[in-house]
Amino acid sequence: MTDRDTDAAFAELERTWASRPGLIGFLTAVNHKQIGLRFIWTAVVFLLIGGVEALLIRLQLATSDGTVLGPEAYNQLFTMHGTTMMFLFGIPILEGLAMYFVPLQIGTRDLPLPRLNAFGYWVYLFGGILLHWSFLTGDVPDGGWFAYPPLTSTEFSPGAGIDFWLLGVTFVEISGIIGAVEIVVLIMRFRAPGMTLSRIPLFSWSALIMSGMMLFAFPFVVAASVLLEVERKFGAPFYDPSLGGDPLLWQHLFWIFGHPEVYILLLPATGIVSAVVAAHVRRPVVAYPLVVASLVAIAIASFGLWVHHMFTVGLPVLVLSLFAVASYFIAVPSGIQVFAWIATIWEGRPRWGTPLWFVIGFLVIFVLGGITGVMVATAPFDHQAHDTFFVVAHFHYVLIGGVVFPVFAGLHHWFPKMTGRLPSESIGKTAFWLMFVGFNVAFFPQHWLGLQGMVRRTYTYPAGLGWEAANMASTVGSFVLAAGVLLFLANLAHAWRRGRESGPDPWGADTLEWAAQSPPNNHNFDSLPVVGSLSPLWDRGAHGYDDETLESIGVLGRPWLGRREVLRTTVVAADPEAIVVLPGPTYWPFVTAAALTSSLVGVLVDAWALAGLGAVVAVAFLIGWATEDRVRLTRQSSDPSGTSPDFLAAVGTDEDPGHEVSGSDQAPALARRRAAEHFKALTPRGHSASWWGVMVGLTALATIVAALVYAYFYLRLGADSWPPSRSSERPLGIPLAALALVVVAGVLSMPRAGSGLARWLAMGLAAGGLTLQVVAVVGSGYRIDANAYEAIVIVLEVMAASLLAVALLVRATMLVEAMRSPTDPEPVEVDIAYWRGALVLWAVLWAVVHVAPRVV
Amino acid sequence: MTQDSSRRADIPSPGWLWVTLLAGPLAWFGHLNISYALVYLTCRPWGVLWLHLVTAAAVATIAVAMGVGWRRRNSQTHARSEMTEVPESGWQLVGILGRLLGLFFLLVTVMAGVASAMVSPCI
Amino acid sequence: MTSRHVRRVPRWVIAPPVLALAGCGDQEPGALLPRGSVAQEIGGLTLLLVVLGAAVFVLVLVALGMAVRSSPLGSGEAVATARSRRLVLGGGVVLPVMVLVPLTVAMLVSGNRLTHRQGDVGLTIEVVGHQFWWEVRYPDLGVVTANEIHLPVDTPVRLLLTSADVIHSVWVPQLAGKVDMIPGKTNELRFDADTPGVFRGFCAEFCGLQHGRMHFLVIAQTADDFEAWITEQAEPAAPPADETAARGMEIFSEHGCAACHAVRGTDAVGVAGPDLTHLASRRTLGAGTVANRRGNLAGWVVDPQGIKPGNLMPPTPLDAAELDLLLRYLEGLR
Repeated sequence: MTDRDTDAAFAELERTWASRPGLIGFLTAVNHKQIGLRFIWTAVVFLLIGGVEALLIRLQLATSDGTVLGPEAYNQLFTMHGTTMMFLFGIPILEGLAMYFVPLQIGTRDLPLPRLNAFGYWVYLFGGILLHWSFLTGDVPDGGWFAYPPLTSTEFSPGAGIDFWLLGVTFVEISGIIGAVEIVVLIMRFRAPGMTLSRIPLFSWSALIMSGMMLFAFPFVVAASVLLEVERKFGAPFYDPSLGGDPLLWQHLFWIFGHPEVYILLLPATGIVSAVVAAHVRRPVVAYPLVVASLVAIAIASFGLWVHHMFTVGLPVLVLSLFAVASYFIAVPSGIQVFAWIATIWEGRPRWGTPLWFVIGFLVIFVLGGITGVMVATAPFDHQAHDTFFVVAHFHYVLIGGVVFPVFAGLHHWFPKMTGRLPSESIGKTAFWLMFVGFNVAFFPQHWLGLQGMVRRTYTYPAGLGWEAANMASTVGSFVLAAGVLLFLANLAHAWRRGRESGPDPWGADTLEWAAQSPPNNHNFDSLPVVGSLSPLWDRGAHGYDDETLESIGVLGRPWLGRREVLRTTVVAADPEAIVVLPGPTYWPFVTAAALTSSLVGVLVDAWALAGLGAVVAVAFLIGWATEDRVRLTRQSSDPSGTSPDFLAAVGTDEDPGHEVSGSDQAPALARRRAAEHFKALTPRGHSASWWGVMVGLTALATIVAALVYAYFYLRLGADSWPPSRSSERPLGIPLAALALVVVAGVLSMPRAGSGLARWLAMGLAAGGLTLQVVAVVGSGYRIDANAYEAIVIVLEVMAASLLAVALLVRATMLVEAMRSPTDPEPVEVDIAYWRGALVLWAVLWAVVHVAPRVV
Repeated sequence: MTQDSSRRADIPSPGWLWVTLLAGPLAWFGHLNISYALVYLTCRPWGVLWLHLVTAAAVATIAVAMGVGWRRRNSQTHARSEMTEVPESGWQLVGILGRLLGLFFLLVTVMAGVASAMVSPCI
Repeated sequence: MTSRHVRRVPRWVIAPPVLALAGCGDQEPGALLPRGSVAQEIGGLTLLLVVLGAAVFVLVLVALGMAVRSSPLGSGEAVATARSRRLVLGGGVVLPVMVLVPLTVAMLVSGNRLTHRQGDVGLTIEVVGHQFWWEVRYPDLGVVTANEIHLPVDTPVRLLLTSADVIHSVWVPQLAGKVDMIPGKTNELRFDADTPGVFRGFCAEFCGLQHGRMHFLVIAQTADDFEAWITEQAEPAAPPADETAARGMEIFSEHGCAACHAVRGTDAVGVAGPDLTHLASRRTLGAGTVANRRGNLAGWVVDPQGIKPGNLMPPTPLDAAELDLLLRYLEGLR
């Protein structure tokens, strides 16, 4: 790329994709690398906090009748340790790695909904700060990371600690869902041309599957937490057996989330392992289809295992057996992955650097964790092992061996890409050995302790039970492990400033991120790569797209009118579909997250005015966000000519000079011509990124509705009579009228675009339906603290009304937006997609509320 | 123009591929949850038959979907290599995933059926 | 479950490897030294799981070691691919299926054996979990006690478990697996003990501040000893033996002890705390926290929060003389 014209084009690209400088830049940045990096380092900070909590726990347990901590502090610390590691370290660091590397790996320039991404980070940060704020007020959560009621009800936990936990965790989970929407849309629609489903690198596959799982898992804990918070604040007896509730409802909802959660952490970690193995044994991971199938199989099967966390609650033996069998056979896809890595190492030429050592450590520890996993899945054995240190040992083998070791392998492996510098190998390997030995010394004895009778979450144990030696070993091991972690991080910190320069591809790796500079420039790739192989950097020119190498075709090699352009491609075949213009730096994500946080704080301290105000302001900010001029936002460059708002422009048409294909001088003319033909043939088609975002987001929303409906029927099946008293029966008249209005409103919205008038009319009808619904609920005289039936019905009604109210807001905003830019199909698409989804969910909830009690 | 779009003509109907992909997981998930609910209802003479009926239905669903997927597979690759070699097109991968997931969930469903056969729902 | 329905794994099969696992061979209190048919059944399964697990682990390590030591690619792509496929399918599919299918059968058989027939119950005991102690009732025998479960050996016992507040879980590793105590629900746990002895039990579900000090003792006795114990416990409290004890009884009621504690045969009928009718016959105080000795009892009465912070008993301000009288009364509750 030597000619002056292309140099100028790249400089222009760099400016177009730049974030703003200084503090303003920090608050407004949306670039995936900045946001991803923030997720990573924030998660590392939380890792250190959670690690200190763990060391204090181990100090207390080092001796019998320990006096380092009292029971109160101990319970707070193990609660915060679990919460921090699961919610504030594990998920965010994996999401951060995915946000940083997946766009590079699949050859695009940013995430498809960059503002949402930035919003997700702020929500995560504020949620994490909120959780730890409890240390300052003294109301530290102490109900365990599983927060079982009734221990976490106001009766037994009257302080604000559990509220901190519920609100903080819910906030962080929402951040997770947002990130998941982002990554799903990214990988489904924004892969480089030619990167078909069968050419997606395994790490990106695992990120896609992780995100898909989050959409179905996190809503369950959000629903459970909201129900518990409503119980705490308003006395709704969802989990109170004396008023028709059931404490086991929480356990079901929590573990329907909680079991997939483990695999949400594990699967992307295995994706990291695949990436590291391929790069460091210099061979693609063998049996690609089997490995992908294993990832998918584990992801799906993990939703059918939750009862194995509840083997001791008194369920019938056959129920236990069904779930035990399902848990057993997770070993098959896990085994396939393990042996695929072993076979890859076998056939490859390993380079024994730090990343590969961490992978070997991972294999040894994780396999042992998997074997103890089969043991605890064995229901009769679990009756002994459940809630003991055996289980503590088991899941630390899975989570530290299976997640932390791969994440560290990945951090060392990708560090040169993020910073342009190489960490020290000798220090890295020393850190590995400290961690490996320390880990095993810390956790192996705990298997034995558990079977000897040492239960979990016990803040002390008496002398004379023979547990002292094993506990002391465990404590010593944990400090060695911590020393290894610190050394590892110090190595990275040192290398960040002083490390040897790495160049773009120090490992000779196979995937596209190594084709970018180190660290990547703002726009990632000077021109978007085109992919013809699973290992594009190893197969340059061999099986390249249209038989050419990936550099030779300059897709979007020159910014047009200073816009941030990326290519949208089809789901399976990754054929180019359209060019998408992404928004640039903006304040809206930050201020919206801040407003939501203040609303949350209002709920926390019972300042309902603050809560309401924060919510209203947040909604106002969201409207501002939605109506922001996305094109203008991208006007970072000095190009004075950019004014046109139609940003779904065709690629490479004659009227669109910026999109002409430019290649390097060495590139064969034939390739250029072919590429030009290819993109000329392209007319924009398919749905916008926002539409995809709405559809994927609706999946999560539908799952929240499903969780609430599950709760309804769970309570119903436990009740003798339903509704519990005649006074709860309601007339159908007004609800039927509301249903009729909403159905007509839905029908009016059926045509794909719908005329503006019909959509205004539909809005009016839906508003009428909403009003009638509110009238009916208020008129029913239901009290949320009366019994579980009335409480869950009120929650379902509020959920339905909120869906409808948001639909009205979306429609009003989008209709105005469509009038402002009539050629832009996006507002109409977004409006119709959400409108349909919301109305269908509303109707489902209506049926549950009004039909279910009359039928079942 | 791309390899995939030119190849797409060979695929009878991508819709079938999605069906074969989802049949195994859905049948298994349905089987697990319905069996769970039935445990509370089948502790009576011959009640266990319902459990076996559900197992048979789930197994049949997966088997049919896999049969359809197999008949419609358009790969010249040997079935064994198919599991380990990177397929040419994305649609082929969808087909392979469908068959592999079908096999896996068939195994799990059958083993769950063994559990229903060996353990009484009354205990 | 009785021994008739459980085909026992002979003790000598389990004992050697388990003793090796148990290391120091300490008597207390683990699942690895079963003293009842249920724990023994699970012990057999544990042994199977440990042996199979170890074998699989070694196999994987051997494969990994061979992979690490293998020479760089030299055998040609086709050979390498076929070898990889054999390794992945053999290790990833055949190996787990060959282990898991028999294991499934073993687990189901074991689950069936562990399940009890209706009507096959020698003794029913109700246990109610409280923060942070155990209420123990023998409904057919008119006995109420706390933090100790006495039972005759070789008799199938049924525990009916529920909770008065939050979720707890009953676990005696040497006798049986654990079962949760859930408010609003009654769970069952059936087991037996085959050897007389004292076995430590734990609360296994996190239940709040003093979850860590919510232990109890299971005391398995010969049939005769158990009969004797029941007869003694079924009696109302012995009247104060002398003048000082009688004065202690007055202090007991004056200082509000009776608001929470019952002493059958007296005016004390409180239900919030443990029944004290035969307090002096118990081995521990504070649900296994300290031994039931005079000094500990005095400390417990005056400053229970110092011994077990967060338990629900308030301190009782007494001068030394009053305390001495009260202790004399309490020590008479045999």
